[in-house]
Amino acid sequence: MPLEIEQKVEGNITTLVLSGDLDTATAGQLEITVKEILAGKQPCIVFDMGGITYVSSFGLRVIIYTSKAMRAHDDRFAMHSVQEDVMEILTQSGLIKLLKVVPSQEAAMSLLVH
Amino acid sequence: MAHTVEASISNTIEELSELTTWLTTWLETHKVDKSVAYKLRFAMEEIASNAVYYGFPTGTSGTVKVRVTADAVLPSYALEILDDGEPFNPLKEIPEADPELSIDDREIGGLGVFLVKNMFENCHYQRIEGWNHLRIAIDK
Repeated sequence: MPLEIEQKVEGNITTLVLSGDLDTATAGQLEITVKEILAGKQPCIVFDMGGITYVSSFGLRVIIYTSKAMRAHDDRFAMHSVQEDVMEILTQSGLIKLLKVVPSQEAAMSLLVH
Repeated sequence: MAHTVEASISNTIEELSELTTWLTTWLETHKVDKSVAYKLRFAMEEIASNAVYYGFPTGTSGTVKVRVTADAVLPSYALEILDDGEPFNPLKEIPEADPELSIDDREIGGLGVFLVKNMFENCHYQRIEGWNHLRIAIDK
């Protein structure tokens, strides 16, 4: 399944509404989008994972990359609405403890707005 | 009763996605449990892409094959990934990622294979007649 990325900007928070597969073929697409946001002023990123049914290790790489890059920006990176199978991968890889994973867009917003 | 299907590609990055399409179509057609399907796909993509990216000396052509054997009654599935590249056992030779590491200390490599080993109790590597042969089995 291809990856679809819809960008929504509210204040200085950019939400990427993702759907499809985050795999070997599509992870690069998300990385490019993240890099564009990082090039802007005071980046703050939310991944809406609700439509993501599959994440491969290439997908995990982009998530790790984003999280590392956001270190320089106050860790203002969160994700939400992660599906069960994807959550299992995040848990097994230990990433769940390193990322801000919350249930909803509202929770992500309130975590990041300051 | 078990039956086996097989797909093969040449060792190019472009053709990797053909294996994914082939496997996901097969998994959907056979109504494989969603979580089992996820694991089989994850393992296949990880091992096959490692083979394509790193398994062959630069400029040499080779083959990557994927086989799925299903016993629909149990049901149980075996996934085999074969390549005729350099002898390489991903289960041993890729350093394992440590899930306790902080994000700053994370090396990207190794995480995929670590996860594959975690997902399946049954992972075996053999070098057979010039082929790397990785076999993974799962019951569900």
